[in-house]
Amino acid sequence: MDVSAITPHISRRYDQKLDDLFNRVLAMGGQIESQVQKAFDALRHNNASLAAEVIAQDRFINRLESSVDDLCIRILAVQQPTAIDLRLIMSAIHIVTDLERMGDEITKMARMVINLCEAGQACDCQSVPGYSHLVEMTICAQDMIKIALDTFAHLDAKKALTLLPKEAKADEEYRSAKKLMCEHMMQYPEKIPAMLELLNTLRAMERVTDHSLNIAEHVFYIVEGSDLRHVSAERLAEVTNKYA
Amino acid sequence: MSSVNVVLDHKSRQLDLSNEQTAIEVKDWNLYYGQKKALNNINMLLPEKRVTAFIGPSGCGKSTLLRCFNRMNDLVDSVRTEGSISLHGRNIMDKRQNVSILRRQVGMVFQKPNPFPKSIFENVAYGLRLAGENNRKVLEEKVEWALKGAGLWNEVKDRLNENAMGMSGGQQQRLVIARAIAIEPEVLLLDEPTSALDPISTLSIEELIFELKEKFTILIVTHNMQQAARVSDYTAFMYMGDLIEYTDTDTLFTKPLQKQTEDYITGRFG
Repeated sequence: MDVSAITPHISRRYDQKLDDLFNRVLAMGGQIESQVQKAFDALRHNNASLAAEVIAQDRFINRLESSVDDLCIRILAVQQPTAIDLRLIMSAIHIVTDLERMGDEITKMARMVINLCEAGQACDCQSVPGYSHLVEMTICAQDMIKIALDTFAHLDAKKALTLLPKEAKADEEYRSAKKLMCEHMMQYPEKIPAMLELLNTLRAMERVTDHSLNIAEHVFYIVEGSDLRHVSAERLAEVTNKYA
Repeated sequence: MSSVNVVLDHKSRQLDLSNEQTAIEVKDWNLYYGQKKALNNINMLLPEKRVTAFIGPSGCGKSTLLRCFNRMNDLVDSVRTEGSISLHGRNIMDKRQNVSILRRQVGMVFQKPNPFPKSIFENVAYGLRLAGENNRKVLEEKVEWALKGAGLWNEVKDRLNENAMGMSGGQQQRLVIARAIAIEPEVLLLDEPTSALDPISTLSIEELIFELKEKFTILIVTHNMQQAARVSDYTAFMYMGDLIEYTDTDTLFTKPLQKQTEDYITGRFG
């Protein structure tokens, strides 16, 4: 399905409101992409001021969420949408919640950078085993955010399904990194403060991948009207095979 | 699951009515106005004591179909029909069917309230009297029952002898519904029953429809899609004489199968 399937309605004002909704969600997604890139740069270059910028910018993302919610309420009240329009609006409300939570998770990385810089442990952080996992997880999160936003922009149900294996892989990466880091903490107790910061941030990036998958599931619901959340592995396999 | 209780809502999705009793069965139904075919091969089961809404653009055939259920189309000279419509298994199109009896079993309420220029009491008692009921006590009991059923009793119980023409539009429409249900029909046909009413009166009628379905099978034609979504259990979308999609109301308004249905209910219909 193409985004043009959402428009045109007989009412052009309705189309304008839905266009506005689409644009606001995508703008918020763009902000998230920018935030994760800045937080990642701050991490790699131990740049506390850039990290502080990420934290400050999060308030702007929170406001975007509220503005999308307000718009959705107005559309629901005035247009009484049905079918795909209704699914789009309900999903947009969920998607901006996911984006807002991604924003919160990204600030955890920024806070870690500030904390480690203040404690003079930034270099320690980069020398421990979990760091490379965090870098990999962040790259994976960036990739998944991009795909999730693309699927929304193009209402692409097939592409949405490609995030299922990516998210499963991210979960597995997190589990193996956590195990490795626990072992390292036992061997080098002096590195525990930095390792805990790292583990917390790794978990935050793993949560970003979860939220990306949530967005993809909402897009699938918009297009197909089927809810993929909380379904069995068999049902997921069935759906995935149908699109293969 | 009985095969008779599963109807295809065109193409592939099945409407499962296995938990419902069938009130009306429409089979291979065609209707012509002269040479013009107004209804094209309609097949559907209408469940008992449920509200089924018919929606679609003007001229799609929904009111024409509704009028078939009590043979109102018999009054139109050029009408010709094919197929059958059964009420509880009895073909109502049979030549031996007494149309007066049918219209007692299948009551109808129209777009504009049409009370008689008589008292409120006599309006409701009218059908009962026509059916031969003249016992005053019985009439009083049935009028009270019908007015209560139509949610009007408390508003009119102290002025039953006043002329019905002095009531508000919303009250008149509920009075007409009371008149229709007084003779205890099996089916109630509502042809755009709120299109001439204000929003508050509309909500009263919708609330009434919800209550009446406990006792009657209700078929409603409406141009107000939100109304169909609010009051009905099942919805049929018609277009140019065809039954395009017929399914449970929740599904039709959230996940319609047919593009034509989706385009219509979302306001994309050109």
